Amino acid sequence: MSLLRTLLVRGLTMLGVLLAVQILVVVCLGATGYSDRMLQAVISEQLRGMRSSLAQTIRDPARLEEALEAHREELESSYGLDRPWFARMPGMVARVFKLDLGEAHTLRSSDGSNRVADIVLERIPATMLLLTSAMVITAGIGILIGVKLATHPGSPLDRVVSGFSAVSFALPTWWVGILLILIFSFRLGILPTGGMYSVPPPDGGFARFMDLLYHALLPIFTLVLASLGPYVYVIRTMTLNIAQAEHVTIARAKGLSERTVSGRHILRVAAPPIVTSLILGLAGTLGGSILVETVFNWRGMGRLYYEAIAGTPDEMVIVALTFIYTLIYILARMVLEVLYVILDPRVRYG
Amino acid sequence: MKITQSQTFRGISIIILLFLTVFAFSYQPPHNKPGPASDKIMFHAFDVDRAPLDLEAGNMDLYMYSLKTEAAEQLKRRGTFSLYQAPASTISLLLNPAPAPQGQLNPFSIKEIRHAMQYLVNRDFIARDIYRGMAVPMISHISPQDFDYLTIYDIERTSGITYDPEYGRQIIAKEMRRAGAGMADGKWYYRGMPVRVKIIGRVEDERRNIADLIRAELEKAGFDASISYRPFAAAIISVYSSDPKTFEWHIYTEGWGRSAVQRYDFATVNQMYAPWLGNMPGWQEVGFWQYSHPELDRLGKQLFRGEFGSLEERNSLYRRMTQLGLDESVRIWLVTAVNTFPAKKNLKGITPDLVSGLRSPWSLREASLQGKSDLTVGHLWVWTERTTWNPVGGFGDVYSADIWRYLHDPPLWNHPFTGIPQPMRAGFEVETAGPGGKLSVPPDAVLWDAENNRWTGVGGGVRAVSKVTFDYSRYFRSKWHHDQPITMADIFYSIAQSFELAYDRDKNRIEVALGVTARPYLETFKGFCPVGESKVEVYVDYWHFEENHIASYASPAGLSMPWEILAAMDDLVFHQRRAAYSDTAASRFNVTWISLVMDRDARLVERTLRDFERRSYIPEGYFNVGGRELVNKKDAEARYQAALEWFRDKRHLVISNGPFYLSKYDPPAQYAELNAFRDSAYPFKPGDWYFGYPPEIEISSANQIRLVPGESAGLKVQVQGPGKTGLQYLLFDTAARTVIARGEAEQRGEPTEFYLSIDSSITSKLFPGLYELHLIAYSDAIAKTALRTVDVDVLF
Amino acid sequence: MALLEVRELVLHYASERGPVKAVDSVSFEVRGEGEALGIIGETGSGKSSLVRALMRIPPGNIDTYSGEVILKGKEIIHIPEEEFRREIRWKQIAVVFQGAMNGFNPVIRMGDQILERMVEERAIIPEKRREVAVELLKKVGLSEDTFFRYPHELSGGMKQRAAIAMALSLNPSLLILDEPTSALDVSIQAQIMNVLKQLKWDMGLSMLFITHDIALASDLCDRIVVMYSGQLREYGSAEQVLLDPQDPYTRELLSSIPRLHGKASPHFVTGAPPDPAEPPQGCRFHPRCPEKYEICTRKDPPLFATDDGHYARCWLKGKPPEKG
Repeated sequence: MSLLRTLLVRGLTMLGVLLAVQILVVVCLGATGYSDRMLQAVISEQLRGMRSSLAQTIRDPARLEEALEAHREELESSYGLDRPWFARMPGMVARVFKLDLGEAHTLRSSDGSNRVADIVLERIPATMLLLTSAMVITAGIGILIGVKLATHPGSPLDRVVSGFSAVSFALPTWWVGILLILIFSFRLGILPTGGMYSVPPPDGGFARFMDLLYHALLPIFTLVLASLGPYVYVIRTMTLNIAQAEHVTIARAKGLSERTVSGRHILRVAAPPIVTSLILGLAGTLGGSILVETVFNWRGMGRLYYEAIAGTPDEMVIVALTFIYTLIYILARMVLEVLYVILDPRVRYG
Repeated sequence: MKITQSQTFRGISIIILLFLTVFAFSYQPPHNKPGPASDKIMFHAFDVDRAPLDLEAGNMDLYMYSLKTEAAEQLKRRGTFSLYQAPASTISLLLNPAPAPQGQLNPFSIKEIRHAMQYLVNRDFIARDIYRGMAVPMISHISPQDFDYLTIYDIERTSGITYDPEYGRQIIAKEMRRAGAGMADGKWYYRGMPVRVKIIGRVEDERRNIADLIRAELEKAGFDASISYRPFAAAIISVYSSDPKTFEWHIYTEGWGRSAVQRYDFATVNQMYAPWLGNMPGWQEVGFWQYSHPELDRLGKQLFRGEFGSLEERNSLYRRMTQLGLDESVRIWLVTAVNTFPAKKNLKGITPDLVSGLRSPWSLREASLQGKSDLTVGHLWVWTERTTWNPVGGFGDVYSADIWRYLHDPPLWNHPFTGIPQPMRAGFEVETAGPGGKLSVPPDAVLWDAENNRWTGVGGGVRAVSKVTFDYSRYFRSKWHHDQPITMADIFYSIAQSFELAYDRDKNRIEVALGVTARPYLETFKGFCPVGESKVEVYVDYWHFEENHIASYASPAGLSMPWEILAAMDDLVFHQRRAAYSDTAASRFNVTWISLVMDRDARLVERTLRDFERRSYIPEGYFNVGGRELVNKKDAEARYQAALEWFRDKRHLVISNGPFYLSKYDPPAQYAELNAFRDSAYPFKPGDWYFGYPPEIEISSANQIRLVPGESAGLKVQVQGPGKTGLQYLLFDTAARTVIARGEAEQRGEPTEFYLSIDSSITSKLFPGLYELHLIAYSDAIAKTALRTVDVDVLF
Repeated sequence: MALLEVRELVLHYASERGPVKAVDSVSFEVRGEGEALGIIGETGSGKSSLVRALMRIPPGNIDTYSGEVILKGKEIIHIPEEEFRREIRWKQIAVVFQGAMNGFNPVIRMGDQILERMVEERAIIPEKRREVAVELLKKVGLSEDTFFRYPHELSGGMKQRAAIAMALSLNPSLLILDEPTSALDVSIQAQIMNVLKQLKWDMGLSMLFITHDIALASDLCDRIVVMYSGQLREYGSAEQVLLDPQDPYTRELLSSIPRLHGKASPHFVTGAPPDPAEPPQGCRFHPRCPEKYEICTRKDPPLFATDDGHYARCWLKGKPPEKG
């Protein structure tokens, strides 16, 4: 079955990508010495802070130094700095592949667990809510508008939307987010400024869920707005190209209804390239969601990633999250690839 | 045996109390039920950039995190909210004094050039323009907002440090040439290469603009200055984790948070100037080049250890260190920036702390909105991943501390205006034989024997420098939040716990750092003696010329949590090994860092409590003090049951004795709720801890004084301020930068009237020139000073 | 009555340089009962535009589209689009285009595409689909399992045959073939031609066969039309046009066919076809005509009858209008 073989090859490639990314992360963190230096600096910083508070009760300089040394050793061993990076990090990667995500050093879940799996699991729904909603809405609107535009190329609507697409492509996601907050939260006051729940949070499962959705509106809107533009334009152009293909003329000559022509002979043929553009936009959407979560104070994985990198670097969390994000990318990509192969018989290798 | 000092202090306390009563009349407490002013306080997180808008929208009543400068300025202009300001951070420039490798030149390795930098920084501009007036210029490590300013302010004046870029460049030119550099086209060249200076500027706040300013000045002085803008993480890697000799930086914009109001500083001056404490370039890191200064180290350690016999001795150490620090100019001080906390105008009852502003322990106890019983407090976060609620190794971040503060009553705390330790819920009486002598410790005083788990009498022949008798009756007549009485058992468990942490070998292996930290402190304690129903005598080897500081040092137990919670946590950490007090132990043993507000952790403690209850367990040895049995089975059972009941109801185990108790804590929603604890026997009611705004000290006098050489002159000065005020003066030759005369003004007549006289012998030394009279007023009732400069006209 | 009568069919495209006169007043008829009418012309003569004009599938930019097309006595250019689509397209007139390579939807199976119009006509019940399709495939000499193939799995020749099968699905009265073999190699070409001949003889299928290949036209067609610059220059029976061409263009065209034997080098028509947006004044062939006269440069000749059923557009064949 050529279909299965194609997919198998793709699947193995993706797995290879996953492994390569993990190795890259580890090398970036470790071989550059970034991780070690960063953690050393953090330890030194903590110790400097401790000096003044310890000085309140320890009045003998020698004993003070002793106490600080003890603290330093503790900190070093807890950060794993008593072993070099190539001793501690491959272990992390191996663990992660066994789906044991390890423990975070400084970050914790909201019920106190420091197991990365718990922290991430807690945050996945939040991120998934944003990501999948945004992707579905973008794809849906993109296809609707793109196809509509392809039927009237050069019309004023077409020009306006194409212009908007170019602008949307250039807009940084985080900037759009902030702008929307300004307009909708502060000027108009109809949407919250950020966070996931209101003050005080409503009781009861349903009310809480509705509150969550209410808070999710702006972030999703931001993600959609930022990724819609190029997507619409690509779909429009692809559909347009296909609409001018010969088989469409023939289909019309066959006397088929316009609906059949646009449905089966244009859209259906445009479906594979549309899926391709979804694949290409996937990585961008994942990255954009990280920024959106940060701007909107949305406690999802993106925010966690940001905190793990920008704050005290938490190696285990960084490795685990990179793995998860790559995994999400791969899975989404596989789904799309399968979809592509189903849609386009020409790529099934004999 | 000197006890006269305590009398003096009692006298002062009375004056203060009188003053406060006067003040208190102008503030009407909303009710006189025991407990706090508001019935409910809700904490919620708001982002600092959106805070002003959230305030205006009415989402919160006050914000406990400082607004950014621009936002603060805007609110100030609009005047719709009250702004509480407190000096929050000091900003300094750190210069890298390491010597450059052969063939290169580090201008800052030359002391004179470092000192010249003091003249290149425009502190007024920074305070006025960059900080929009919300900062105060600083020359030494202390500002006029600190009590010790009085000790060294003349050193500041005589240093002559002011913004004089011409002069600065002159000195630089002289020294650069001496070092072998030459100037071409306005730039310095050493062995054919331009002299490069790298500035690391922090980007998160105004330090970014300061870096820009410094760069401009350095460029004008002929250096090739470049800035690397870095956030926290990237900056500290380069500055604090690299060998200064690698010159990853030449200048760094530092920022220091201020801790509580402190009188008689001993740590800060060391931190900022003396290399031994590890805060000078080199950081005492093995392998790095170290900045060294033997005299500063020697003096610093002396000051630190308290090796002085009197206030005067202490002051002279302090002055010498400050002088040396200014001369060395490795740290150049710029400004003290102010924190701005906004609140609704109709918010009453706030006592702003001199240092922490709104975040003082008194604020929320007394705060209420007119006509309302609830209060909504905003903060940057309510919960972060590092917010850990445990009294032994947690409460390390502001977000937990800022709520916890209102849930427990400490035995002592520092007066908001003077910084002197005061009785809060515990009273004290100090007896001391220091600095030279010792008292004898009664043989039946006890110490905890960690090896054998019991209280043992110290036996005969033990002596200690001071004795403090603490009176805990204000605790004992009321209850813990879970309705259980506060007893001697809670105190003695807590003391034993600290000794266990420090001396029990097994526990040391688990919580290493905590043990090492506690030992030097606990070594100074020589014995504890329960007296009567509610008093404990504490014998300790510690002396300070201000008695209250001895009491503060000797306070043995924080009394923040009931013994059964502490015991359950101890069991969990050391026996069951399923949790840890500190984060380092937690990560080492792969257990949870215990936080009583976290569901999972609280449940672990709850399970332990249930186990205790089932076995009718009483921690062995802890409650057998000097023959007395502090806890019996019934007491223990009642305790456990009450704690379990509490957990069933509230789902957390934060039980304490303060005016509020924690009713809700919701991390994902960033929300916490505090309810008033209205036990009829709670000793305080609204108004008791209201101090109001810190009183101001103001000097008023003529703007000018005429001096005729050979004639004596005098000046009348008014000083308005609380308590006992004083006035010092400096007659200063501006051009020569020298002090001609200094002295203390005399109080004449009214307590606010002062008169200073300048003798003819002094005026005869005057020449035509620029002179100034610097006045500094101080008070014993507030850790602030006031300054005034009077122009001097010399007539011939 | 002729099967198809075309009267003064005009299709001009709009362009920046003025109207492009692709089909400029063309009139002819297809007689039906298995007659194959060939339309010969070079590139740019307007033959493909003629197909579009007949099928009412012009491109977007029309300047003029007029004339009459009468199929079995009924005018079809001016009836409503919907009626034309439902009644005429594929049912009465079907087309086989030149590049069948891309004439099929790449993601749908051949069988479905061939039957597509039938399905839409509800002319077929689901159970019978396979049967009907296989029958159509057999007619053009394709195997049964072509039904399941995708276009990219078939060769050019097979696709062209499938296109023919597809065109036959509703039993049209007229089959228009626009260069059906140009893209194929000679052996396949022969196969296709055989198929067409078979259809002509067995089914009596009338065809409009458009090509630039004179040899093919001579093989299949009964009557031939020569097109140049949007106009008909000559038409008549195949023997008349090929053996006794009257129009100079036709003669030039025929003489440019290389001979298998003989030493003479091939003749070719000098010059290039005219710009359809700006055709020459007068006779459109005059710039390249070896026999032109003065009048040819001024006036466009009408079609003159030269024989029974044989017409040519040349002043040489008829009386010029009176001077003056």
